[in-house]
Amino acid sequence: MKNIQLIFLIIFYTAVATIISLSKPALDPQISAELTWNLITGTDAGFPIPGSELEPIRKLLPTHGAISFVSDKPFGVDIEMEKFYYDLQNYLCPLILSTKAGEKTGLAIFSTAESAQNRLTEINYSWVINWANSKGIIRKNA
Amino acid sequence: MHSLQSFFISSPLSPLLLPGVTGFLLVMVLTYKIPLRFKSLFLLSLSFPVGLALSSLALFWSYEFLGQYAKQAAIISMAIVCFILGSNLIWQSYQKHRFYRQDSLSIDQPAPSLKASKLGTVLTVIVTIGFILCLFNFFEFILNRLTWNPVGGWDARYVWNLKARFFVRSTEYWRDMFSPLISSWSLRDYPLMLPGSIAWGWNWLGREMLFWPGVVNLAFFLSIALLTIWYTASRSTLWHGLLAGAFFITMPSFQTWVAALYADIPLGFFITASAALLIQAARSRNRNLALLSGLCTGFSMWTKNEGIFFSIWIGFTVILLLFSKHLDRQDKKWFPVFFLCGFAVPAFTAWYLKWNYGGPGIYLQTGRSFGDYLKALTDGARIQYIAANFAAFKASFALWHSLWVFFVSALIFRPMFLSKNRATTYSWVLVLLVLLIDAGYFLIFQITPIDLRSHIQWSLSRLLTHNGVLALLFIFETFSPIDQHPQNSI
Repeated sequence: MKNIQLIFLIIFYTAVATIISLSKPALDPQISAELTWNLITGTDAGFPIPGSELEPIRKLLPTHGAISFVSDKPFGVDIEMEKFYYDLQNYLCPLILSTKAGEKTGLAIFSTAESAQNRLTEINYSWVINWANSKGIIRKNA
Repeated sequence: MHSLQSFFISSPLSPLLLPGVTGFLLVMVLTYKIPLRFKSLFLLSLSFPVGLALSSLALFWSYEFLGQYAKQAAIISMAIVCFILGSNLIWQSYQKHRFYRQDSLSIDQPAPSLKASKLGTVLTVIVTIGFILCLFNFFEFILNRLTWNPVGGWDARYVWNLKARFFVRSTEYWRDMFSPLISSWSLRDYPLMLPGSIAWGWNWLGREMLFWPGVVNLAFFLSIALLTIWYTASRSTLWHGLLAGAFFITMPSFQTWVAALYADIPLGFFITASAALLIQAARSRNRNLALLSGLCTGFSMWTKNEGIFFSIWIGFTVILLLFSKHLDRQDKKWFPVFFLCGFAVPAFTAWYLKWNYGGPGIYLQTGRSFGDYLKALTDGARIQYIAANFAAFKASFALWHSLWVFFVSALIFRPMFLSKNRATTYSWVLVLLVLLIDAGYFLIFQITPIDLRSHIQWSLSRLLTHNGVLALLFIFETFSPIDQHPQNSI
């Protein structure tokens, strides 16, 4: 019995030691040491903040409460736009971005001026500030 | 002087200081008179997670009741708790020395272990070097991964960190994190241990430092490694503990999820700690360890909704312990009381959050009838599909490095390695909890209103991290020889 135990333990510990010694997680070679240093020292230099591309508009938006988020298609249809919405919500919180049109004020992100015009007519909003011809702040028509 | 001041205020590690010291003092005060083997490892493994969870509780209650003063109140309340615990520790130390000053050997002092063999010393040196190399590899990996993506995976970005931002950016409008306008995806019934810990650090630093959520997850990950080493080494030898710790650190599944910055690694810690402390409480027949186990169970509930399930499972285990022949009447009377005392505060906070802000969850109040649930529970094809996925995920070497194969082997060959020793009693707690946790998640998949395939795809591998360390502890408990230390014998 003792011998069987011993054989079993030798197999177990050899297997465990082999697995541990052969495991080496894959690294992304493109990551620079400087960027890692910026991260761990807390300077955060070189790291873009998701959603920060709308910084010029942020200053014109309310700091809290709720506004509507409107884009080319209804929310949930375009996965890339949906992801951008989540990043924007992170960037603008505690301001709430409602995914449904209906709030008095809205943040509009359209791909083209034509698309903007069609969608705004559909949901009954109009531009307050039109930045870059397809992005900006909108208001619900009376 | 300036660099010291800079470290205490603006270094990414500085927010860990107060939670770490508070956690250490709390565990130390509760276990001061308990002669545990490798006690420094034990203390270190619990300090940061317990401290961070306490800081998240302090933060939540401060925001709930103290409005604009919440940020300062959270820090001051932690400092007060720290001061009270420190004073208690000094008092206990004074009492102990006054009582035993004429004795050359305190009864609290663990008896020296038997002299280690030469082979044991050589193995300890080799495994220690191996462990350090594994740690180095891990840090290289995690820093590389966090530099590539410092904001983590989906839930980290859009659930946990978002909730933390509501805390940090406004003491007035933080409750908007529960707004029905975003609740369909921000999941307002999720508990706040992780967002609270992240917000604690960001408040301390005065800005939303990118690395801090990574530091929080790393603290929990390394604490699991220390807990694994302590648990295994305390009944066997240090090199067995280090080997178990190295196995944990190199497991791809845990590495993936610590880099994702989800709440699953913290939950895995609290589940493992609750079970390990409960077993140690029963083995050493100590009520304060039962209290700590209850506290960690409460923290699991305050970390993720899966913690509610775990609380039920470990509550059931505590009831089973009442039938143990190794515990006397007094133990059986006080164990559940102490466990519940530890459990109460974090569990009440989790309940308070759900009651006041939670809204309907995704499983209950979905408008489905009892018949719908019964149909889902007895759907043969569904059961077969879930079972096949459990088997496939667990068998994956790329994820688990054969952990679950070793677990089954340990279960099968357990009788061969059984010995009549206190150190092996209550191992069944680990097995029972592994099986109950799996059964719980199996049940969840059966009744999930979400598309089953997608649900399994995005959650099964991380759900298995919750009980993975319990399985690891059981494996090493089975296959490690028991050190003939006086504390390990009957």
